[in-house]
Amino acid sequence: MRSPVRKAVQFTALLGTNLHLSGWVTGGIFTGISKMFPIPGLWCYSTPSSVLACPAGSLQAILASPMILGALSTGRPEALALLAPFGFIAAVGLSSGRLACGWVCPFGLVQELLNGLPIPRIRVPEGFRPLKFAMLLMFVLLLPLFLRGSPAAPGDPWFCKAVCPAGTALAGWPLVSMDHAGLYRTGFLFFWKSSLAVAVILLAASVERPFCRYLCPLGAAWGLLGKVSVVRMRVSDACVRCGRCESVCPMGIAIWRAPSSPECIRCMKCVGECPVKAISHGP
Amino acid sequence: MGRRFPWWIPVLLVLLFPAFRAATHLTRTVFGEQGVLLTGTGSLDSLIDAAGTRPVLLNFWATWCSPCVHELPVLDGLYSEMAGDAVFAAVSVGDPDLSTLVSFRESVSIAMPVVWLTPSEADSIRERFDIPSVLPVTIVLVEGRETARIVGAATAARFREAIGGQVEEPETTGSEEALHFYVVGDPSDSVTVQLHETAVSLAGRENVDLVDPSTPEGAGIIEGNMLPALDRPYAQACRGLACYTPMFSADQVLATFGPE
Repeated sequence: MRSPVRKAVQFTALLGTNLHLSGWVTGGIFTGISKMFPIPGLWCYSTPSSVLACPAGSLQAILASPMILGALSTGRPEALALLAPFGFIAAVGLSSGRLACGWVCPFGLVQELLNGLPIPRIRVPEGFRPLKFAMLLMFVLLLPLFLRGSPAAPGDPWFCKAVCPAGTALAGWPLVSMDHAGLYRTGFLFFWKSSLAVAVILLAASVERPFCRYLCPLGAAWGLLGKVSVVRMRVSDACVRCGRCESVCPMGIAIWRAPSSPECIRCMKCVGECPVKAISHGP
Repeated sequence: MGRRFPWWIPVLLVLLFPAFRAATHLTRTVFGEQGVLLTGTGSLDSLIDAAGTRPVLLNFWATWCSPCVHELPVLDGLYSEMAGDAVFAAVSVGDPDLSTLVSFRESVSIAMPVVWLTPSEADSIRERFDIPSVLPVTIVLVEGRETARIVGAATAARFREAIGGQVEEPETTGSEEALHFYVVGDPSDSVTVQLHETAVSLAGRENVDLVDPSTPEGAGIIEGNMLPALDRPYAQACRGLACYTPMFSADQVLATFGPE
C-alpha cells in the first residue's frame, strides 16, 4: 500500500532542505546561518540548493578539527562542540530510531524514486548489511579522529571524502560541472567516489534503498539507538506469521521476527499491510 | 543466517583504500626534543658570537613558507647529528606575531634554537644579511664572514657541503624557476576570484592552484603542502623551492610580479 502521507512528508523535507534553488544555476553553495543546523537525514552540505547541514558530515568535521584531540585530552571547552552533532544524532535515534530515514531523509526519497525505474530486480546477499556499522565506526568516527599527520594537524571527514555517493552525485558532480571558472580540482578521489556513486545509483534502481541497507552511517547509528528508543515497532501476539510484512518491506526484513531490528526504517508500510493488525508503532 | 558470508569485510577493505593511500602519504611532523625559542636581534648576535670559530648556519624562514617548514626537519636532523660542531639557528623573519610561532611549535618540535624577530628587527636583519623576498634562505657564517648561501629548500647533503665550505658560489634567487601560485580562499569570494584571475594572468592557469579550505580536497592540499592557514583569502607565490610572503590583494600581487 502506498502512503501518500509519508510521500508528502518526504517531499516536504526534500524541498525544505533545498530552498536555495538558485545554487543549481550559479553553481555556488549556500552559506547562510541555517547551515549551522542539521537535517534529520543524510543530505550533503555542499549540494547547491541545500540550506541545512548533514549530521554525519558535521560530526566528522568536528572530529577532524585540529584542536579536538587536545580538547578531549585536556577538557578544553572546544570539546563541548562535540556534544552538538552527537547530541542531535542521539536525540533523533533515542526518540524514534530510524523513523527519520523512512519519513524525512531526502536521500532515502531519492533512492525510492530511483527504484521506480524499470530495471530488473536483483537479490543482494544479507552479508553486506553490517557494512554500514563499519562505515559509522571507521569512516565517521575513527578515521576523522585519528588519521592525521600529527595530533595537532586537522583530520579529514573520511565518509564524505572517500565514500558518500549522495555527496558525489548531488554536490560533487553539479559543482564540478558548473565550474565555469575552473575553480575545482578533480583527481583520484573524484573518480573513486564517482564510481561508487554510479554503482549505488544503478543498485538503487534494482534494490530498494541500497545506501540505507549497506552504507549509511546515520542509519547505522539510528538503527542501534532505535533498539532502545522511546517509540518502537511492536508486534503483538495476534501475528499469524503470514510474511506479508516482509514482502512489502523496503528494507527487506521480517519485522515479526525482530521488531527492534536496526534495519527497520519505520516507514509503516507493514503496519497498513498486516492482515491482522498485529504491527504497531508506539511507546 | 549462520551460513551468511561476511561480504561486508571485503567491501570495507576496498573502501578503505583511499584512507590507506592517504595514510602512506601523510606529512608527519617531527616530535623530537623541543629546543629553545629566543627573541630579538640580541639573542641572534649572542648565538653568533658564542660560536667562536665554529661555523654558524642561519636558516631564514617563516611559518607561512611551506618549503621552509618542509626543510626544518632536515636541518634539525643535521643539527642533532653535528652535536655542537656547528651552531644552528632557525631565524623567523616573516612572522610578525610571536603567537604564530608559539602555536606552530605546539605541533612541531624543533631541537635547534628558533629566533623570533619583531617586524622592524626582521627588516634590518634581512638588510644586514641581504635576504631576498623569497624564503627559505640559508647562510653559513665562519667567524662572521658568509661562506655559503642556499636560496630555497635543500637536502641534508647540500647543507653539509655548505657548512663544510664546499658550496661553490652564492646561489641566485632561483628566478629561472617558473612562478607558481597557491590561491587559498572561498572560490565564491570576490577577493579570491580577483587573486585567482591575477595569478592566472601572471603565471598561466597550469601554474595556479585554487584551494578552497572548506572542502576536504582543499584542506588536504593545505596540509600536504603546509600552506599557511589564514582566516582570509590569500595568494602565495613560489619559485621552485622558495616562496614569497602571502599576498592579500590583486594589487599587491601585481605590484610584486606585474610588469614594471
